[in-house]
Amino acid sequence: MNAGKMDVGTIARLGLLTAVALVLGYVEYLIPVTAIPGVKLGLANTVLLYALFLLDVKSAVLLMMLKVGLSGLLFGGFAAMLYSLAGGVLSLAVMILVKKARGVSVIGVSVCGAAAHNIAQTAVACAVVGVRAALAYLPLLLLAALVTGALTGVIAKYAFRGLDPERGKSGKARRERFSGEDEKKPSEKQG
Amino acid sequence: MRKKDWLIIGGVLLLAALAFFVSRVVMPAPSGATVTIYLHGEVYASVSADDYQTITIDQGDGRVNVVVIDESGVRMEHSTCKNQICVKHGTIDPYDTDGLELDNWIICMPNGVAVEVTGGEEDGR
Repeated sequence: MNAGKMDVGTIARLGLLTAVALVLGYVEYLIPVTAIPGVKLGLANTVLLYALFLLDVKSAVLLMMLKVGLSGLLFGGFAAMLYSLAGGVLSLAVMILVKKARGVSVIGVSVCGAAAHNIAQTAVACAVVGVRAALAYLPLLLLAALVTGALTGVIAKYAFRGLDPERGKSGKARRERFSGEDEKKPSEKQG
Repeated sequence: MRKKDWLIIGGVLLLAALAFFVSRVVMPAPSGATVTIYLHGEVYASVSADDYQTITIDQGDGRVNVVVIDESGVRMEHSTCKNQICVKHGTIDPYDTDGLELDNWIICMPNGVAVEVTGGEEDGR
């Protein structure tokens, strides 16, 4: 997280990704897509998955902190910031660990992240509303995490195809990739 | 999807089942058609679900929740919280025992208020 060593391209990319994460989070806040109250799709997690898979762990941690801090300041307030910090830290920690295991695709990592996020929020809820209330919701939250995590994982998997898989490439290289995708080149990558 | 992805999905399902078992079977719940209101984890009020009334939980610091019990069931009528998840939760019918098995709590996280509705008649717990 040493800003002095960060090149301009990295700063620009992280800024852009932070903005994307914030907007995705806000859109979900405005338009709840799930029927269960309090359950969100977690689209902003696609940005963390992108950072984790196509950039590096450091960028993912930085993005998570920025997303939690800024969305707390902009939309949620201090208490909401603490909730999302608990969710963000545990979920990212679990995703980093799971990604290290071989043979797990972005979908598996995403499901683990979603489940860890909901478990962390349940742990915080234990302190706020009591253990029984929090635990009663946990099964529902875990099942929801399965669905939302898998969906976000699938979205991330297909979004990655349109994005530069090689880190550090210039904008030109990425543009070339994008134009390549426009020609409907069949992609055979396994996620 | 790879093999380990399915293992992860199975693991989460197992965890969900475990949490379901612990929260529904191991932990004792109030019996009868009862509405129990918790404030920051402590019991604030425990009343019969047949006793139609409006309960106001005023914490004295601007945080107020209003719980209504009537013939349709139990609902959070009003909350000063920001996300209004508790109000949007809707009504829980204390005599819909199957529904209760899945969802018998209305929780307002920002205000630390939790409402537990336990079943009437054939109380399976």
